[in-house]
Amino acid sequence: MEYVSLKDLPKESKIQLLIALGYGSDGNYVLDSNGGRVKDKYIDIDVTLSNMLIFPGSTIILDNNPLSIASYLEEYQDGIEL
Amino acid sequence: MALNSEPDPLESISKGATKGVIEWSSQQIKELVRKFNDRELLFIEDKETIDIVKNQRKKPELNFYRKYIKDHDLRLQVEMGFSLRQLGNEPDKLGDLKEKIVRRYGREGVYVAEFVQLGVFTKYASLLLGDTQNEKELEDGLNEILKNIEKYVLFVKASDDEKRSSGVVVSRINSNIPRVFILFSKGSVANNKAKRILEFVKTQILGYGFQTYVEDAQQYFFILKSPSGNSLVSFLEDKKPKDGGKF
Repeated sequence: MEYVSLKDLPKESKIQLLIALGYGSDGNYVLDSNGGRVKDKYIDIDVTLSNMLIFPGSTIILDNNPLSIASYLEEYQDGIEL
Repeated sequence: MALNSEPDPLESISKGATKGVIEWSSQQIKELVRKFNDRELLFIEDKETIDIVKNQRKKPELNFYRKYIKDHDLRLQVEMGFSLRQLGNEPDKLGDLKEKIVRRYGREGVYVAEFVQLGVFTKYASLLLGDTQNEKELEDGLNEILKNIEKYVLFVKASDDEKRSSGVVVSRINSNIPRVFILFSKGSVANNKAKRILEFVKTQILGYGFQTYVEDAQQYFFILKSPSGNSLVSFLEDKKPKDGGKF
């Protein structure tokens, strides 16, 4: 699995990427196709453009932190090999 | 600065991402999304975070605990103890992760993670390993303390009110009659405070023995019930079903 870093990417390119994946952004937060803020399903916080993590498969967007990553791996044990 | 003159639209991304600000062309985004849909890549703000999780999952110690801790939430709290260890020199990230643990698991979740982070659980597990007769006893012993951490553990801090903490320990021991209670401290001020708390506790409880471990700046006091014959794992005996089954 290849990791593509978003760290030094300008906001505009991040938004273009999200649009290509079927999402959007208000410039600060990740928005779903209905315009609602995408929440990290494990810690229930709004995912920001500045700290997002996008897993393939069902396109799961999370806050980039060890708890959310480990939680994802617990839930989808066979879903991804890091 | 667009990089779409590169022969491979993705090569510049993997190289350029660490070198400074770049922009992605629509061609690059299209190719990235194709690879993403083929599950060949993921997007992440900070690769260090995923490396933390990857590295801790390779550790035999964590894999040992994962074998005996079946509850997913408890496993995650233990795993976060390893993450906190790795973030030890990054106070901002450490604080951020603790906040997120609290958000999901409450204060007790952080206590479990810190119990692991500071190595107290390792010390407890090693004592338990030497004292258990079978896998079930070991599993029960590991899970019991994590599920009831406030009942069995007190982290003594430099800022703690010594008299109050002493009272808390005595009260918890007298009301719960646990077979093990652990006092942990780190740093000279907290260590001295923990010693005085222990001295006070010794005068207030009966039927307990004491084991002390000191490692660098950390200090652990294990207060063990019935030192004259019963073992550490016997605290599990209270949980035996009345039908005579083992546990």
